[in-house]
Amino acid sequence: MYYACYAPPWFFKYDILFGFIFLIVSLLISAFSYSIYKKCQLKNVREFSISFFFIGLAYLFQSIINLYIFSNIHSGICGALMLGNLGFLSYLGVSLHLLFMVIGLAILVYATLKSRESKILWVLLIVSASTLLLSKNILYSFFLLSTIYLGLISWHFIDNYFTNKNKKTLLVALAFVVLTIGWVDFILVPYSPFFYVSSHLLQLLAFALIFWNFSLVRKK
Amino acid sequence: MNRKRERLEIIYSILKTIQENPKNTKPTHILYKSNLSHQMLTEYLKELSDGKFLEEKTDKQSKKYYVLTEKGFKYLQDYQIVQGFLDSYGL
Repeated sequence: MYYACYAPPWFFKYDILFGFIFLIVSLLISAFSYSIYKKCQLKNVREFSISFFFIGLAYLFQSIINLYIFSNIHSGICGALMLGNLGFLSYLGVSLHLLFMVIGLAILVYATLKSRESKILWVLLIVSASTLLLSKNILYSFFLLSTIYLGLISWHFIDNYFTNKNKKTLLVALAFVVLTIGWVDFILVPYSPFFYVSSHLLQLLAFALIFWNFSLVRKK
Repeated sequence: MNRKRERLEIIYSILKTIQENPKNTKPTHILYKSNLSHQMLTEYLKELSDGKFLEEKTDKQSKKYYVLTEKGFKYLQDYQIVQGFLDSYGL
């Protein structure tokens, strides 16, 4: 059984708003890092840009699904909505969201590894995609994989902060730690809708920190 | 360190040296500051001059010196942003 949504009814419109905020910030980071790549031609910067592009795409699909649900279901959103009840388009949207998010995170892991071995990237992508596609419980696999990836990414940024202590590295490290905690929160959603809200608030905080760092880096 | 990143730093170091001594940047001064071999510095200076990042001039005593072009100044500005980005994400 695949739980698509445990959102409390009052939170649903905020959920949509949050999705659009995450989408905009992700695409901004992607575009900015691509402009950095054009200047420095470093491959891991290009991969960083691609990873945020995929994360942005994942949020785009999430926003579309949420809007679709919001416009079609006016009552009884409370409780769990099963993927099977959402129709083919929603199922496709949710699957694409999960797939793009995991691909984005896998590429981000590869970018932070600073490896020149492209085989590692292919292994990460194949393992990620096949785990999702072959899994009986796609959401469980998604959260397990993405939490592992976020943990690895956070570890890199924490390490980077201790190597180079300043406000920007601290903001990035904090952002990804908060994002990981938010992700773990999401795993607990079946136990209480409170976790759904707290997970989104933590994600919002993480994206605010990422955006803050983005505005600091852009200053000449 | 990544070769490309090393190269960016060398170019920054050369251009920064010229920026700090706008009217008196002789090749020996750049050589000393950038810590490069003579041959490598000559290659970099030629490349930067061809790419219009700097201009080679001669003073009254017929000695060579370098000045930054607008493109060179822009590189220095951009480098700060690139460096800030790379440092903040540890890339």
